[in-house]
Amino acid sequence: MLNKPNHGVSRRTFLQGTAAVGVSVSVGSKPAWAQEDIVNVYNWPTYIGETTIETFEETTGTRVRYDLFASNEELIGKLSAGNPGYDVVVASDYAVDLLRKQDLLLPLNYDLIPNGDHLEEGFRNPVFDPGRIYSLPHAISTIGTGFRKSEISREDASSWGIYFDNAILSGKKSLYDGSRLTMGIALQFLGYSVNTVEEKEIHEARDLLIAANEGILTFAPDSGQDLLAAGTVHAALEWSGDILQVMLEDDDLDFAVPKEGGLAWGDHWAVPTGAPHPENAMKWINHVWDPRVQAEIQNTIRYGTANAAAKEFINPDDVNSPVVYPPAEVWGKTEPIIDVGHANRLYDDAWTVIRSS
Amino acid sequence: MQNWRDEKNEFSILMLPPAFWLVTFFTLPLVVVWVYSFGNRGPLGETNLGFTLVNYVRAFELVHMAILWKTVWITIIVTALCFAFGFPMAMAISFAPGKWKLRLLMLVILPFWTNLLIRTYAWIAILRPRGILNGGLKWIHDTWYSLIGYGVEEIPKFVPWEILYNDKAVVIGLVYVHIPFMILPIYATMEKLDKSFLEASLDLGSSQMRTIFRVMMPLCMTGIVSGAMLVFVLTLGNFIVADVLGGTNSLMIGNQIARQFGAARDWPFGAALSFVILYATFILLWLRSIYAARLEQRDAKR
Repeated sequence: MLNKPNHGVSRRTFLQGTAAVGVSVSVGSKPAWAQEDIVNVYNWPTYIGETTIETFEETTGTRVRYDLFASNEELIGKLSAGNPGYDVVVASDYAVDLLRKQDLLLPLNYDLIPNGDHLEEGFRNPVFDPGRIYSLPHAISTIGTGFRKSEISREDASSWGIYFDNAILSGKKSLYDGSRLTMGIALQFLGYSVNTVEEKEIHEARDLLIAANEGILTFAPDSGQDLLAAGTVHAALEWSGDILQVMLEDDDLDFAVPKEGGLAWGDHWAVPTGAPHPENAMKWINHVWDPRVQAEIQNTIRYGTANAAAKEFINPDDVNSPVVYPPAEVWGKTEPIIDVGHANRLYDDAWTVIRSS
Repeated sequence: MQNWRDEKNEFSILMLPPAFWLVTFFTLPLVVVWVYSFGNRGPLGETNLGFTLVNYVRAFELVHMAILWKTVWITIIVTALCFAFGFPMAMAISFAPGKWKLRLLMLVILPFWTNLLIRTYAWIAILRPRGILNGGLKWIHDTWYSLIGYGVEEIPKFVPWEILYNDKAVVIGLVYVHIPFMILPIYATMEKLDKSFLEASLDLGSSQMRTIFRVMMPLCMTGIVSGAMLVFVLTLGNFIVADVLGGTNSLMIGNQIARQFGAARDWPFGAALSFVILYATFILLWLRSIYAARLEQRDAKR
């Protein structure tokens, strides 16, 4: 998510940020702007419906201030330095886990979020937030292989093995420039968990990737879909939604979740500790979980929903697409990436060796 | 000239803003990073302050030294290439007629008006297999074969030059980004140069080349050293170019540091790594000042 422009930082949000820094220093008294009827939303770029903000302001009368960030690390960094005034944020699976363990999230008040009842059974007990105490899904997706149909068959593309066989599409494959994701697929290929903390298993995955360096063109910083569209590579490790966007422009492209499992990915609404308007934040989450509002969001960003009632309003092509909603047997084998604490060091050291040999 | 000791009050008032600036925006952040470098990473990626040298020990592990070694090599190559291309360019600007001088200088500075990231991404479009460079090469290839009598069907398949996503692409990108920092200081010293030295050299029978290498270059040495220093230090810390244009083993020390502050969330180790670089840079600057002092001494003796 390196290259997405941050068009949201206006002078107003900047001033608001500086004001918040001042506030956190002066103890006690709430500043005037905290009592205003607004909600400060912090989200990724191009990750919201076209009318979501408008309909929220109309139904609740609460004004929305919208700000953007580009990586989970940016979000975690800002919140752990003291919440600069955000009411509701969007965090990925492992980020939810890290934030809740550092007491940086408030429990959701489900009395104010009746639409939370629409949550599908399969999403109620994720490892990163058991019982959904702190988070409700915003969008879900899988990480698999985007591929060019004229260069490789769907059957071949449906295994992580293509990345580790230097004879297949040599120099025409890209992996992702992130240690956990790319090492995750090597671990899955070897039959281990993507969240293993065993040094031996991590080293095996490392050696597998070092041997594969020869056949891999590059570790792309979230630009695999562009490499695929330009014909620079014919197989790329990517998020389903990103591939879906380029599939619209080039029908020779397709997406497969490998038989070894694939990675499950989700981004979730959560309310950070120190939110100036926690009630408005709950109202916001309830609003985006309204089936029609949720459907409008997913029809715009084309990711999957975990809202059972929203599906009837979502574009049928997307609801029936195995890319957006993988069949149960595929989804059942996917694993989310969760934080591994001290074992992060093992992954990082392994990644350093992979990226320099 | 007045000695500053005679006007201590005026001097200290004048010095206040820059001193404030340096302390607030340079020294203090540096101290924070320095303190971090002795801390340790908690299980959730938080930074715990403390006193431990493990981060420095880790920074000196073989794998990091190998990355640093490779980075230094790439940096030396980039600096040499910047000089090889930058010196003639500075000369061309310096000897251009007045009206052109300004236009050429503008051309050197113009790229700075576009974001570095965007300029680096533009090189992907130039270097990729179906990009501008390979498109041109393919056209030459096809035209050549049809000129020597091959039919359309008989022309051997054009194999694109694999120049993107490897160290070649990284060096090209780094030279492109940093060459203005070589041109500008050299140009500045050339402007001050007394051109009669060159005339004298030519009048006394030296060839053009000999004049450039034996008279001009030594006289421009301060500019060359400044330019080389700037390019060297900036290249050493750059990570965007290797990120965008590099291949699977393109890791430079800057990428390693950036990752510690980003995805790895290991700020203490990132801080220790950057301080290792900082010490190395200080040693370089110190050597440069010794060199400059020697030059001055030599000039004084003349």
